[in-house]
Amino acid sequence: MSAQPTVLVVEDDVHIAHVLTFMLERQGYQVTHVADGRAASAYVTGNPAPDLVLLDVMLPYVDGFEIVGLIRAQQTWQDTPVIMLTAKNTERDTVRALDAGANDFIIKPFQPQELLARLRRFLKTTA
Amino acid sequence: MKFGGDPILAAAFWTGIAALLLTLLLGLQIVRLRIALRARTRRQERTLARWRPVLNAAIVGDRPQELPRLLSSERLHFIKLWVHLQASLRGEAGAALNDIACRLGLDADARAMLGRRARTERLLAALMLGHLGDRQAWPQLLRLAGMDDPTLSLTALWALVRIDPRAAAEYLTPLFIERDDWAMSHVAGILQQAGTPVAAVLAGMLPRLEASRLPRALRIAEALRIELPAESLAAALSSPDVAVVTAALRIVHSPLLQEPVRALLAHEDWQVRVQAAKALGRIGDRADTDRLVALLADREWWVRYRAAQALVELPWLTRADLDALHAALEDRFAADMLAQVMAEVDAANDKLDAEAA
Repeated sequence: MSAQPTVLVVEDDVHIAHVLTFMLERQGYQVTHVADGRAASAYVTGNPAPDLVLLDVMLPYVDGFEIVGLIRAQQTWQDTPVIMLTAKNTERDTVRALDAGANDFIIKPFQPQELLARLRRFLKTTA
Repeated sequence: MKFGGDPILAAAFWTGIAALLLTLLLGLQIVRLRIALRARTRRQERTLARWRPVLNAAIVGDRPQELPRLLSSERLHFIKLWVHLQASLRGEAGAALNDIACRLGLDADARAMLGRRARTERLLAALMLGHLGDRQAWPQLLRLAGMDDPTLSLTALWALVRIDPRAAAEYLTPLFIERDDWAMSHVAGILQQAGTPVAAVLAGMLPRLEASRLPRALRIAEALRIELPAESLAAALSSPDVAVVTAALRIVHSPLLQEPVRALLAHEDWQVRVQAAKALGRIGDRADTDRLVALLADREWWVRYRAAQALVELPWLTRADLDALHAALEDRFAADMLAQVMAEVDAANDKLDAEAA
């Protein structure tokens, strides 16, 4: 892992993307943000794996489940921890996210401190 | 201007002039609207650029000692951003956002906005006051809740539940039972935070409710996954009204109600038998297996289908038990139905396995 852990944030809600980027950068992470499923697919297939992926389920063009599948299909991304952001009251989405290969999930609306704690757990493991 | 005394020519000329003037006016209006839109977008961008860092810092736990002054031109854009963030975050972040709003005096502003004519301002104000839990806004929100505009009234009702779930349950539960023009998904969404007080209010109301209102009340309990007292449900299960009985069967979860549910397996209305089969699948014991098997030969397709589904989901029946049961069935329709449901379960399991692989 590089000196500054890298996090790929895939989130289409511009306000939430700003909050996530702000939170993560304050913690010393280097953040790359992509705003839709198509851009996320292009990023996954054309770039080296980050230290962690924070991935929204509901995305324009390609949904989060497909992106997890794509991530797990890339040899260099196979061990990258993926945390998915799922909506409240969608237990099926949560199960589907974990089945698709996500390592963990955060339910929206989310607690920023809880999200950071989960991130730290994975980034410590990969350190 | 002379037209050689021809009135048709004069009329054509003046009509042309009027059309030209109208076109110019329309063009000017479009330009004015475009300029206003661009100005609004610039104001919004300036507001976001100034306030987003303040709100983001508060969200992660940095309470700013001093806040910049919120300009009146920024107020609506700020509230929109604030409401959006409140809806997306919870816990300490929500409390931090409330702190910022109160320090900026937006609680008082929002109460004032509730009394204005502009619908957007009223909606935003109701959302903000709900997130703030502003008790002072209660009377104004109650008035707004009684308005004909469904979006405004439902938003005000949501805010009332946020402010005081117990008091809101007392007021809203009878209202929601009465207003069957409000979609159940909206009702459930609003009452979700007040599940426990609504359960108490519903349990108290059920014995006194008119039969025509009972199905709606029971559907609210179902939508909120409320467990009503067994004695209240037993009374509903013995109702002569099919709508009441089916609504009650849908929320039966207690084994205390096994006997009344078993009795309904032979009801003359097939919709009651369908719901009774499903309910018995949830609350029945081993002795009910034979009752469900008997329903596989019901004259109604849906009753046979639900009975087969209930049988397949019984935790004490293994796959081998189900195969043996299928082999022993003499009724062709019953055997076909059980085979179909078993195949559906196999297909669903195969799909899950494929997704997990």
